[in-house]
Amino acid sequence: MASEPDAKTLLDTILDGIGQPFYAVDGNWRIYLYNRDAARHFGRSAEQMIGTMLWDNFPQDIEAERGRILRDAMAGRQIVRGETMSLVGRYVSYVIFPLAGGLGVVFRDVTDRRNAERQRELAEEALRKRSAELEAVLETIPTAVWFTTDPELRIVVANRRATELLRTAREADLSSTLNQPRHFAVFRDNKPVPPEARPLHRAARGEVVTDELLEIRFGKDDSRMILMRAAPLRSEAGELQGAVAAAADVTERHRHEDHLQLLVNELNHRVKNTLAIVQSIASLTLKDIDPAVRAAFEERLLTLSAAHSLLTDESWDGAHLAAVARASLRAGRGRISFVGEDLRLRPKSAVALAMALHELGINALKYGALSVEQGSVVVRWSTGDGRFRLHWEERGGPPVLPPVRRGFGSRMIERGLAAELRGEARIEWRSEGVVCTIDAPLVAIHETA
Amino acid sequence: MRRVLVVEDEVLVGMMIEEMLHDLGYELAALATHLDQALALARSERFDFAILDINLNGKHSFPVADVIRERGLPFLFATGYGNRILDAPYNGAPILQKPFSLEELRRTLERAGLWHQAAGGTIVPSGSDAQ
Repeated sequence: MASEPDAKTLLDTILDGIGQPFYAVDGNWRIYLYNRDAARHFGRSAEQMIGTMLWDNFPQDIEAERGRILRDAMAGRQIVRGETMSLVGRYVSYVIFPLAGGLGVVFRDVTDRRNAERQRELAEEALRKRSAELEAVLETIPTAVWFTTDPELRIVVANRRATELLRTAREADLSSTLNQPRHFAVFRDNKPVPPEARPLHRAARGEVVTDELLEIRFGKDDSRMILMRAAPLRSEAGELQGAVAAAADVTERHRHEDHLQLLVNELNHRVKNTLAIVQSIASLTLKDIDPAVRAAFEERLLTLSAAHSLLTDESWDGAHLAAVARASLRAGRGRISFVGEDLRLRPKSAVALAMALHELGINALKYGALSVEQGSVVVRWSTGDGRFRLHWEERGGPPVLPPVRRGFGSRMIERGLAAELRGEARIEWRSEGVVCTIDAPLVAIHETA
Repeated sequence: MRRVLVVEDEVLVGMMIEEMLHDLGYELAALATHLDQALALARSERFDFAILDINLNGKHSFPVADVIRERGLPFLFATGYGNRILDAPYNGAPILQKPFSLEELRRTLERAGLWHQAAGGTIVPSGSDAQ
């Protein structure tokens, strides 16, 4: 076993081993102990420092707080602990103790810890501010909002609008209100919706719920219509952490829509009734004159009526070309093929095209391709370059002779329809079959163009 | 000849339906243009089936349908309201969409099991037959 080290080696080893900066000064501020960590802290080696006067090294610090602490400790002969800015501008936690006639100073650099604490304080302050803002927003918006932090909705937080909407007290236990509601029931399309099938519950299980229209019934003739959305809340790792749901009260809007629908239905009813009366007058007036004339008139009237029905189904927003074509060409169905991507028509174009297609269909039935077993018609349409093009082509019919006189149908198509669509419509009486082409700007016929 | 009760608040339309029924070989039992008149006729008149306009001067003709159903007689509705107008108890009753053609009337009667060739009408061929 080696012999005991000498006192000097022992002291140096201890001083370097404590792992914190340490130095000692005598009663005249002369540095006589100065360890390795102190050298690292001050950026000056022991060789440079030992034997020098402390204040020669840091003259500007004599009057600073740190200088005062050291001078008070020298005078007071007490152990002093605290935190301060060190002689080289770092935050340190220190212990100063009387040592012989001077002082021993041991300290720890806590700048990083203090910075981290400051950062955390700033972050917490920002979060508090953000939460306060969010809460203010949540309290002011006219949308009801619910949060939950677990799939069973054991903990539910809601904003003011949400408690108003469900007519609960602010301090009510929302979890039981939502899980076992007593004072209201929820319906979707008049069918009851149990709690677990409602948006917040579904979102808490991971489902995204978009725009669900629900009715909250509080009693007979006392209900609200709400439009709800809900989404799961997930951690960054994708783990379910709860859900959020928002609801807007759309009761009034819904009432207006219902009322509007009622008006549209009423209007449609009156239009249909009026058409029926016109049909009656014509039928009773023309009864003994010419059955063919009466039938042609009635057919045109019924086509107009069918186009109106299609438009009424969509509250007069517009109608789809494919549906208009089918409704106008009920006769000969099965031998008429439609080729083209469906598009929505403006109401006026829908009526005009319905009438035009009807005339072409009737002509084909009487004289053209549909008058014989093997004949057929292809109706092709396309949109491109801002134009709408429709091509009617008859095949397999008897040889076509150009009409001696332009009838109502061809006049209506070539003049009426062309003017209505602000384009061109042309009927060619080719011997192999009638061809009709319509070419119009898309904006004139397409709803959203 | 099979007899038909027609309930229709527009007299002109009622007259046209009468013509159509005649062409199809039926006989008009009566034409009612008001709800109370229709109710009275539905109870007392002798007929085989009825054609009911749903809206009679703003009132629904469903009570008339109830009376006819109690008598065990068939009926069909005529309306300009579209198919969704019918209340649940009448779901399944045939509906004629106004305005309708002779052929549409004939086919609706056929679907309702009320059309019999034996009716032996004097159907005038017309464009509508091709539909």
